[in-house]
Amino acid sequence: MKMQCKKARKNISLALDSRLQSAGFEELQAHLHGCPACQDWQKEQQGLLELMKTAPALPQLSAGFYAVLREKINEPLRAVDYTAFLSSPLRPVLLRAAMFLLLIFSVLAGFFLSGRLDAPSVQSVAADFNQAMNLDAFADLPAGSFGAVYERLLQGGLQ
Amino acid sequence: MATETSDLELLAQIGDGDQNAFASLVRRHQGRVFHLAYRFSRDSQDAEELSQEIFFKVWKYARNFQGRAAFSTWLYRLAVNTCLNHRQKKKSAPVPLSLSGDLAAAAETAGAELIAREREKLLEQAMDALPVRQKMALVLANFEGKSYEEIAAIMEVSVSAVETLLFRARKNLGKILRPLKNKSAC
Repeated sequence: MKMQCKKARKNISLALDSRLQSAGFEELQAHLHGCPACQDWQKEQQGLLELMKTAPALPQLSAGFYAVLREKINEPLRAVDYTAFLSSPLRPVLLRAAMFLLLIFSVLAGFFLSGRLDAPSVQSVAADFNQAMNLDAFADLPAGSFGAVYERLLQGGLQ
Repeated sequence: MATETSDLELLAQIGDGDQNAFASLVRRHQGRVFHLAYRFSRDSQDAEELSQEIFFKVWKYARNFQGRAAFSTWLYRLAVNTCLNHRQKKKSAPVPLSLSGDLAAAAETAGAELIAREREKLLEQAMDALPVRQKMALVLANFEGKSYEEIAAIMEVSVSAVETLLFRARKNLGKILRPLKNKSAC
């Protein structure tokens, strides 16, 4: 029922702007017939629309409006407007050129960096690994302790 | 159609820096632009500043007009975006709505005219409390008489988005005004 009311109210909004198709209009009439809440909503919205139609008179522009504007357009530009680029007709071309340059730069940077990086030796990798694993950490532990057994296991002493 | 062509011609001349063409274009559209800005800001000084800004953008971007949309759509789009940005910059907190005895007092003491004036004031305040895009859609539809398709082109959204904006605006407006209406009826 709630969903029906929501749809009906959306249709009321469309009907107020003469945008509702005849099928939708009939469906709306059928719903309104049995739904006092939506009838009230329709009345409320019609009232608001009437209220908007009787809006008060609007003020007028001041006499010096154009004079101020003329001064403004004759002012020298103080700063470069970078946002003008966004509406420039050249924007697609400039964007593609920028992307192409970025791609070229990335490829060149890749070549340059790969030439400068030396592959590490096997010994230094092994030393780093041992240090990281801290294989001697259990060396001073009693022979029966878990640490010592674990170390012997690592060294291949246990089968 | 003839007016539209003239607008385009003027715009081309403005693009070449012709200030007389700019003056003609401003004279032709200043009322419409000012009223839109006023309906949105509800302050004549703000509306005048906004109108200045809108026409300054016309001067600045005339050369960029590509004719993909009608001139009036382009002008409204500039106006709408300027108003929406202005509102975001200002970030004015919506004025809390209250009867403050005005409407009730008016109903007791004065005639229908005063009540109507109070109602208009409440409507304006309620519109101010709406989210800006809903408010703009409502202004364009109900005060500027724009079709859904025109609003969609101006606000750069789909027609179904316009339907939703207007529906939500009306729903919210009713929700805001309902308690006040009930209060005034007591």
